[in-house]
Amino acid sequence: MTVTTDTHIPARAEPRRHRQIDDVHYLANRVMIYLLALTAVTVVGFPLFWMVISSFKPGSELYVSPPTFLPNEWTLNNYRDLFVQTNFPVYFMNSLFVAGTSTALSLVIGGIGAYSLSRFNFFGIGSFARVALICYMLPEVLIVLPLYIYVIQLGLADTLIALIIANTAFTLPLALWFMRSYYNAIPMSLEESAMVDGCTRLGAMLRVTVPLAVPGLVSVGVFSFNHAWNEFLFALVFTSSESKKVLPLGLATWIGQDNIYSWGMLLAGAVLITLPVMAFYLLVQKKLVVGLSEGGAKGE
Amino acid sequence: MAQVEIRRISKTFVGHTAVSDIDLVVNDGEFLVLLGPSGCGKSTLLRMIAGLELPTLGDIVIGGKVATRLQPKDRNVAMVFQNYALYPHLTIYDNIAFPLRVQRVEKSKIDQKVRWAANLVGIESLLKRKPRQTSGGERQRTALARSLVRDPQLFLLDEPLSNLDAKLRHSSREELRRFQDRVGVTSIYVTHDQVEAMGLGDRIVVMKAGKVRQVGTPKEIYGYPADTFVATFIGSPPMNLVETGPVTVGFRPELFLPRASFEPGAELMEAPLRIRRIEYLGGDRLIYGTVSSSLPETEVISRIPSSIPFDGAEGEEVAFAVLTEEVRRFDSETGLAITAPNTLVRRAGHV
Repeated sequence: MTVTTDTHIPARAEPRRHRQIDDVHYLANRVMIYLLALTAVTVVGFPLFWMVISSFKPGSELYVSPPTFLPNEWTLNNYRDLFVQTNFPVYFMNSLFVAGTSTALSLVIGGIGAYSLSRFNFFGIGSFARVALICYMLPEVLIVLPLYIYVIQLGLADTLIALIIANTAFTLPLALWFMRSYYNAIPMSLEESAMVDGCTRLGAMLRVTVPLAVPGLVSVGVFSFNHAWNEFLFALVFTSSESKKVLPLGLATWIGQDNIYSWGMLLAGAVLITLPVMAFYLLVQKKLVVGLSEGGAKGE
Repeated sequence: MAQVEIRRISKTFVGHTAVSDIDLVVNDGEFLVLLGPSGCGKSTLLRMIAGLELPTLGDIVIGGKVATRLQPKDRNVAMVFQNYALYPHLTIYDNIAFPLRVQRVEKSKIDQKVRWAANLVGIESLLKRKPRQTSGGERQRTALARSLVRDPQLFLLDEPLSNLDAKLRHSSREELRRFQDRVGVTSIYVTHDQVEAMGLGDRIVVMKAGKVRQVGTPKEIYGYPADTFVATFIGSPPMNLVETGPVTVGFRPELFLPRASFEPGAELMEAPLRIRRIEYLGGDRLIYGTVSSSLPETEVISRIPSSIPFDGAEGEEVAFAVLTEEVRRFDSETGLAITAPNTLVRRAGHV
């Protein structure tokens, strides 16, 4: 009987795994990762946490020594004061308008301009791209004064339009270069196919290229919005009247030479400044990660 | 469906001429293959017909209408690209529906047409997938379905099989031809693969360096090459060429056989072959060797089918021959075929 001989074969043929050593390695690995993450979160996160917590403390508690970790008494007074006593709502709307418009302009001009840089080849286009990049390398401080002369001569002094133009001009070169490499990675044959299928050139771009470039556009959008939202120098030089101030400038004016107007309000303002940026990030986070990692090699 | 006329087309890019002075008529319903080595201008010619490149000189007439300067969208041509150019962000369904959506066809009609086209190429089950979730063969079929969904008057195919593996390529070739027979649309097919060209084309246009070297049916191209380039480009192994002074004679390896295999009394051109190497390929044997005596010493190849007995060994000299009527003659200087009067009559019979 051949069947009976089979039963003599040892049951375990595969080598035994060294489970214990594996487990220790795994554990060590995890511990290291969590320690590193904790460090990062502490360094970056603690000031943020302190800002949020302190904005709910009443004014007196802010100066208590030793400081309280959580507020003894939670209050929204700082936020109420912010809206009642200051021009915070005006600053906020100004900031939103400037950042929103600059982002939209960067996306439209950058998106279309980069498409031209990527797809067309005519005299001077290469040098144009390089000059644009050099412009980006100039520090803001260097160009703000010459730009101010232009702003005055164009009658744009103390207007939000001046800020929009300056912010757009500053982010555009990066938008152009980033989007150019993004478009370069999208095969030309997709558009050609769309054109043969009945699209105009613009139609092919809008129906095929742009949907494929969305992650890139999101990255550019986040960058532009963030830059314009936080921008301080242009705002300081170009605008002066209270009704034209943006958030960074407005809040900075509360910080005096040697005293602070109100720490509570300042911190409440800081929280409200952070919120839109955070919300924007969370909204586009998924696309952003894809955009940053896939920018180079999109392919099919 | 339409006839396509290409009138003295040239295309010059900065520094080099891709296509020079080509005249060509593609008949209604014909399957025409543009064949040539890479860089011979065949793809450029196709792209000019599609409207993706503007010719430097000349005119393109599609269906009796001068289309030279028309936008691609106004030509009603369909094109299958080498990489299929499926839109990666759309499903297979939306890919096929794309040309109809662009034309703003009503929804129910789109659905009906998409299912009809998908059914024709056998991909109904894949409609919900994205292109990257499908195989090479399925992508190729999707591209075909997309191109035929709106009844184009002309089909352009740019090496559509070159991204498939060898086995799939074979079956796709057969499918493609059957499909074209069924739809009956005028088709222009670009390839560098002579087997594809011979197997698919009603007529083949052999191109080299931007010029047409020969236009003809696969039989004409193979049997009566217009010059030494066509003679060696078509056929595997290529035609043997032996230079005998001002005339170069050429004969196909599979017609250059042992003397003993011919009927007595046949009109033959004989030459002894010193065998250098024998390759056994199963169905036939390739004999590499050197002809001499009656012909100048030249390396040639003979392909002997397994049905013909042959027991020569490497190093031996064996009498080989080819029927005189199968010998082609070329001008050694220009490379052009020298056509004898009797072959002209035969050629007319071939067509």
